[in-house]
Amino acid sequence: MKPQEQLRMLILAVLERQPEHGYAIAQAIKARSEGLLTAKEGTLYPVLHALEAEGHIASAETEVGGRVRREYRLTEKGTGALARLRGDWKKQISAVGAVLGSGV
Amino acid sequence: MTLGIWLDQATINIEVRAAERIRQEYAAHLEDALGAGTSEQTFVTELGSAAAANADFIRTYLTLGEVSLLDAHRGPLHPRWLWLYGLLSFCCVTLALFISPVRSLLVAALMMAGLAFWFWLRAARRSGRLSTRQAGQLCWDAAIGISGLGLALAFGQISWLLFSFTVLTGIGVRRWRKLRLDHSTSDSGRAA
Repeated sequence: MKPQEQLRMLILAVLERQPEHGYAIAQAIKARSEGLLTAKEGTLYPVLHALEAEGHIASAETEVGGRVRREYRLTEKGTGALARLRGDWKKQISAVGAVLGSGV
Repeated sequence: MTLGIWLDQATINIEVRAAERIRQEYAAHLEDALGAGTSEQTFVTELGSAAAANADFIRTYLTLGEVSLLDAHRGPLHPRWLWLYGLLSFCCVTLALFISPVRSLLVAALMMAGLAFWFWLRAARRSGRLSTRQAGQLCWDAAIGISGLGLALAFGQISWLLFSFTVLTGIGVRRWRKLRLDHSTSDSGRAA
């Protein structure tokens, strides 16, 4: 799975829990991975916008604490895409595990 | 480098409204990052390559060139083009009639279907189901597709059919994807 595909999967997984805006998505990825994974803002928004163009997520402007933020939410199509990506990811993990052997 | 300079590079050749949205989102992100104690310099450094972001955005958003082309494509939806369509249909049907009456009927039916589609596009645009750009693009794609199919039917030239389908599935589909976001961006409201 390419890095951009991984980022797509991570974004969809974050939005599966609840709608979030860009900064919160980046923070959630960092926090959940205990700092190991970071969604660079330079790539985060192009991927978010591409996911929206494909209909996997939808967005609307909301007011958060007096500030206007664009909030993203997962669509039905996005839920299906996330399930497929999770399946692919599990296959890759088990394939790599099989090659590495029981020492890991 | 400041965020403004980075954004200038990241939004080169991106349609004005989309570029504005990108700017707003990055500015909001910076605001949150500054609130969390990150400096602007660190934030901009962590953004990475503006050229790479620009290339990614161009895959999603309409470019300025595409917008001017699409706006020029709005023309065929104007009623003044109906006479040209009528003349073209008449010529195609007459030409096909010389070859075979059956083909002539098929071409006539195709032209009628095209006309019905044209009226549907106008209605969809009026009701807001399609944006003006979407309706214009569909009209343009349909004109190419129907012309290709009409010529293929009239003269048995399969190459015209292949050409029209290549145009529709290539350029048309790619631009249509971008137009979907263009439409939703222009219509997305502000939730409280």
